[in-house]
Amino acid sequence: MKRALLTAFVFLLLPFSSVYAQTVPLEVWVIGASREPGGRIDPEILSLVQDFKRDFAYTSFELLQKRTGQVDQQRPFRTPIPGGRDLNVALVGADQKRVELKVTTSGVKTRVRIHRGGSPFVVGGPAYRDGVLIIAIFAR
Amino acid sequence: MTSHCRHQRSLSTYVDGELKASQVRQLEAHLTGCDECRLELANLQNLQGVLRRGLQDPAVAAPLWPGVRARIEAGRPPGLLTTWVRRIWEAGWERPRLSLAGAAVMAFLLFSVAYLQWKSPVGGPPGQPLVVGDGQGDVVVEAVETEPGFRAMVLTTSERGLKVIWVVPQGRI
Repeated sequence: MKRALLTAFVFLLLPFSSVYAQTVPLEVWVIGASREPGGRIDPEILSLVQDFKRDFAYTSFELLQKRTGQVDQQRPFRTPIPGGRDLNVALVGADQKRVELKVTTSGVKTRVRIHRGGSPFVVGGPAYRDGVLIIAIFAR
Repeated sequence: MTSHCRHQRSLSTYVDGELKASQVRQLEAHLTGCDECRLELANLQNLQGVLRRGLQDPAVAAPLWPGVRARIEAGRPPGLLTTWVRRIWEAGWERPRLSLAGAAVMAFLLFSVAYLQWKSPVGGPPGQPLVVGDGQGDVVVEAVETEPGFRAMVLTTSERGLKVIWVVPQGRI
């Protein structure tokens, strides 16, 4: 009887374990944007910053940091970012196509849904040197 | 099995003409000395004649067929699924506590699956999601909360429609 109850208990936990065991690979780009004359753009981030160059008054974009990691329901992804700040990304939910994340960094907490392998979610604005930081978070 | 029994069992095959020549010879030799087998043979031949006549007569065969088919179906052994269902059903009646536990497990699993279907796909949490522009539809900003002393704007870039949360210290906007 005990064995049967134990087996039943294990089966009861199965549907939850599939969700809680789900991990989402993340990639974080931290970009320093400034208005240096004769602006320079890192080739690696060229495609991403085309939009920023057009919409924001910055001319120089430098990839300061590129971090990869993963996030699951129990373990948020934490990484220090330039300027003595931290970036904290927690997984709220996920399916095969999309993920919902709670992103916390200096000055702001936000909850977003992004597509895996799709466009990044971007937080910008924290002051850094003569310009600002732009943080792009991709879900893989 | 005696010789008589063996011959008696092969009578039907004999009537159908499916015995080998050597078996036919043996059976016919037996028939000459066995009244019981001769009577049985006569009955079988009579029955065969009736069946043949019946099958050739549509007026007889058509009404008979549903009954024949029903008897064939009734005699067919139950399938594997039917057997298992019957066993589980009987086990449930014999062990009510086990069947109650099984029902509880099934109900819980169904509830879990329904809950996860509702919860896991990220869409549709309560409240109005803040969808910023159409863009590529890739990124949806659900909520933004700033720390004291900061302001935030949700922007969409003009080219690719990227969603950007722009955070600035208060007073600089």
